Amino acid sequence: MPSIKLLKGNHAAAYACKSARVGMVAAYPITPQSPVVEKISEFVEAGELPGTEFVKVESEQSAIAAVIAASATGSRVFTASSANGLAYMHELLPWAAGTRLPVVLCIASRALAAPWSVWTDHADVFATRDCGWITMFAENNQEIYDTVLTAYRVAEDPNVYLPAFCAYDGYILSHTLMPVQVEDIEKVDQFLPPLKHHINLTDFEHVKGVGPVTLPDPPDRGEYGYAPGYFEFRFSMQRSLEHSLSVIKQAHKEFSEIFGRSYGNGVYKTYKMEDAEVAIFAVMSVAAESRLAVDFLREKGIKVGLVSLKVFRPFPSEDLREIFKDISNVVVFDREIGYGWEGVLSYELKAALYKSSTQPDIKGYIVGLGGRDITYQQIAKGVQTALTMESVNENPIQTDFIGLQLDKLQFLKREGGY
Amino acid sequence: MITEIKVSGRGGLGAVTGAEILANAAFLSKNFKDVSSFPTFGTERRGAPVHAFTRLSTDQTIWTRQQIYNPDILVVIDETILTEDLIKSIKPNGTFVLNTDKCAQEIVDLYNISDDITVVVSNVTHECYKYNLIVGGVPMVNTPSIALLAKVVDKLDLKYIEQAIEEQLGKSKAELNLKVAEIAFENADMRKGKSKGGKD
Repeated sequence: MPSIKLLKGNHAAAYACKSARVGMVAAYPITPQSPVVEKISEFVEAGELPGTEFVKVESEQSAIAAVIAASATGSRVFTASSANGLAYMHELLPWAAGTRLPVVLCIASRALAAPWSVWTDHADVFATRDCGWITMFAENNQEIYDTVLTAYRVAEDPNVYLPAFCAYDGYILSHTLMPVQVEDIEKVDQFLPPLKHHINLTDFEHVKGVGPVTLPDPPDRGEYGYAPGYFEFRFSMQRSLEHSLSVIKQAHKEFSEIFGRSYGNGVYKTYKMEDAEVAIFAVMSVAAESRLAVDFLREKGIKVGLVSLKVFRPFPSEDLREIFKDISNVVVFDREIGYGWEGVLSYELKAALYKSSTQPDIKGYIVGLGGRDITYQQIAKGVQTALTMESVNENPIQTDFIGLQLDKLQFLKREGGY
Repeated sequence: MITEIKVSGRGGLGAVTGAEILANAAFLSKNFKDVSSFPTFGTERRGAPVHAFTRLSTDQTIWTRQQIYNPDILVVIDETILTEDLIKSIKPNGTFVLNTDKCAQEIVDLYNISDDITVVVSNVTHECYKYNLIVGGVPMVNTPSIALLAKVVDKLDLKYIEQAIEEQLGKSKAELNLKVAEIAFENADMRKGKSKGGKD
């Protein structure tokens, strides 16, 4: 029987690893991620994960190196991190993608230092953007459990073979208790069959190594034909990532058939978009809180809906063009900044809708950096303000923020400020 | 309906665990559609004021992720952290649960609490010392204080709070907690709010 347990987000991720029968786990503690792997180590110690090797390492860089190596031997692997720990893994993130290893990594999101902060924002997640990983988000603890399972399913698809992130807000989900349905392992096996890896480093007869030096042009190897150059490797990575969008949708469809839960089309979720004229675009904790803003604004007669992005990489531009085609205004709330430009979701959406036949006005706000609480009232106010603006599509180098408390800070009042 | 509860105490007294026990009790009762519980993150230090939050929903999924600024029920497990602002933060017709050596009316007079607020008090610290519910020199006031919620939360019987305490602490450790919880519950004093709030 599947059981509903009251779990913190980190433990929901750990239970998903247990359900997925992960073969190897390595991680280094960092707040607020640590309880994920603490729980997994408890499972291992209690003998509840007989097939799992738990490897202790001395840093995040070693953790990701260890799971990459283990993945290259054909094992299903897991790691997790946050903020500066994730940044310390960065060098090896493109190694996992370039070697086409289906590594799954949970991010309990947290603001990047400096200044030091242990609280949530999404800067650490978006800083991994161009490493070639699939990036998925969760809005609640059940979705964390479900997304980790889906991440393995997609990452291990022979048409994909790419690593995947499952990101969720540090503390706001990682340390919050919510009911989570933990599925029977037989049912999970049905959705997630054993990994059939394309590579096995321990097969010395055939596999001589991974990540060789590749040349600018394909070298002629005589009777073995041409070997790909770096360019061709990277081309195939991009094509696989693009193609993974349909794999994700198919996996999600099967997930909902087997488990009876669904998250939109697996790529984005909607709330009250059926007759919406205005849309909020957000992810993770911001999207969850926005659901209340939608209800609040609808009571005031504004036809608002929410599009909560579930998959950020690959970016589902065609889906977004379709969902926003009859929308006059999109208001984007980013819990990070693409510094020197604007919120990442905001400019990515603008790029996706460029030359779309019915282009909505898109207004972006920055909210909740470093764990500053976000209320639905603030989100609602942001939407209302955006609707009073004449046109917001002229490139705004000056970003707008909601929830700042500058009035409390005397030093900002001096000439030139900041 | 979503009931928003804030549990306040000092680091080491178990406010965070208390809030989690409360969520689990509601979950175990099967009378609630959704529950959530979380602390004010990252600031827990022994002796410093600590706040933790629990939401109990009878009919809808809980999507809000914000902290609780105006609780329906405020539970204060250490009277020394009480401030006027904290008491004023309680919603109209809300409930105030306090671990204190004073009776409900004394608290009402002392803190000038308005008519609409239901006040529940019990001398939990005293009972902890009396029955030796002490860990590392600290009275474990959280579990008996949380038990008082059964007096004021609809559809939340004491037996579910006791069951949740047992799940949290294990059967043998829970025994003394449950005994003190029941005594604190029996000895509680209540001043009912005028318009509504509180249950018979």
